[in-house]
Amino acid sequence: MKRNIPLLITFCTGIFFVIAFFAPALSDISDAGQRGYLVIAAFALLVAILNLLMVHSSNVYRQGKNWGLSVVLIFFFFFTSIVGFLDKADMDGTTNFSFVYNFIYNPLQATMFSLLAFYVSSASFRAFRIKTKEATLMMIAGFFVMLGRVPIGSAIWDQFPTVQSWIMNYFATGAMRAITIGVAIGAVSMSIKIIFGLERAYLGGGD
Amino acid sequence: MWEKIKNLDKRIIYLCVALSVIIPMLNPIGLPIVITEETRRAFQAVDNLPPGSRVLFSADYDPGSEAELFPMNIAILRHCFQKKLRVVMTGLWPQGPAEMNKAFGEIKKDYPTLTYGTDYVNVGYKAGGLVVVNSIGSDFTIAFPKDQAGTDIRELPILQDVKNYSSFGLVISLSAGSSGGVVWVAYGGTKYHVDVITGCTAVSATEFYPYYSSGQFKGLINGLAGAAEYEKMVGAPGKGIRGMDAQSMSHLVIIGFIILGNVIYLTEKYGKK
Repeated sequence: MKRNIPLLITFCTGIFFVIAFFAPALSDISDAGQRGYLVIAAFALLVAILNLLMVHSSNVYRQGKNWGLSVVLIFFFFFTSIVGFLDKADMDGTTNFSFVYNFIYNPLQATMFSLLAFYVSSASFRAFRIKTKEATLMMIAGFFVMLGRVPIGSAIWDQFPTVQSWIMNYFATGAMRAITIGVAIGAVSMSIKIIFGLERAYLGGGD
Repeated sequence: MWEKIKNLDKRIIYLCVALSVIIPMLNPIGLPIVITEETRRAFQAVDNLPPGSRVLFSADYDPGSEAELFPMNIAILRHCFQKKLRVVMTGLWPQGPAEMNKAFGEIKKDYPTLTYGTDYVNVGYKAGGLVVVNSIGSDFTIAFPKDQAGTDIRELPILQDVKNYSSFGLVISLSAGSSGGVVWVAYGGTKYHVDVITGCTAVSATEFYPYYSSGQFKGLINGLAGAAEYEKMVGAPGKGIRGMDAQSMSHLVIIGFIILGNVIYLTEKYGKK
């Protein structure tokens, strides 16, 4: 019973939403289902928050690895949340929450992402070797795409943007299309297995 | 000598990259920007809308992708207001609506007559990704009953008669990953037949090209270069155009390091034979 009821719910819901996608007459019930999903998604955020706080509170209590950073995380979690709840959202960027977002959170995250430029350049020097024919082709393609995407490329040779566009529109798009279709077929196949109860890993328990 | 270069201190590489970005920022070279077809089509999708049309503008990114997507956010927003379009702002990422507020803050002084709730609105973030996009197709109020400040959207003139995608002339998504442009085009575009354009980070552009070449995206703004092109077409040079000189130089530096690394590799390989 513990397994059959979830399987039955999954089967009925799955079949219903597949039919509802093609049947406008079922849109009212489908809308209700979507409202339900949005509520579940909101609760999923809550679960994520509780999980985050439990993991880091436990780390502080045990004085585990980098527990000081966990203290910082918990402090700023509550600090940002309280500031956000107290302030009404605005379009002028004058609230305290806008200040926290624009001058603390924003530069910190942008900095983290910007560091990639340094790692990529260092890795490209040490690891990008033309050891095989495929690696050589990839390096040539990368060379044309990198130069074709920036103004200095067209200043060096005015056909760099054309070659870049050709590579992106034919080779890259063709490969990506194959990957996307493959993933989609895999997702459909997995969905069918879940709807018909052939794939039960999501229920837990290991069988 | 090769051994020394091979074991080059990575701090020297970091310094070269930093200088390749900083020097052009301080002393712009002013290299000409070439407009690509993808960006031109995105621009035309906005430009062809009649004044008063409603556009749904979704910032599906966070500050990590701001360097590339924020300049195009500003340029597109500016274009919308130049064309007297009514902009409904949202985001499938939690930070998206704040990015929209920030972009609007950058240009609001140029459009002092715009009124919140009449000319533009920010309906905030809603968790759910593709279900949010899909539910707008049935009824906009399912996903967004209130704006970001908690005001009932029926009290706002811009959204009083909003129904679903038929109420919007265009959907614009600035996308740094999932959920983003692909979700908007798969559900909003393909199922509900609304026109969709997207702007994306250069590293994720490959994911978007299949949808652009099939005509599902009406335009594609690719990375900082795309942002610079859009700024040029709008006639308002900003961070995109300023950043292109730095990006040109940093690409040259990285290509230089790749070539140098391979020269060392090939010298060692054939030198041993």
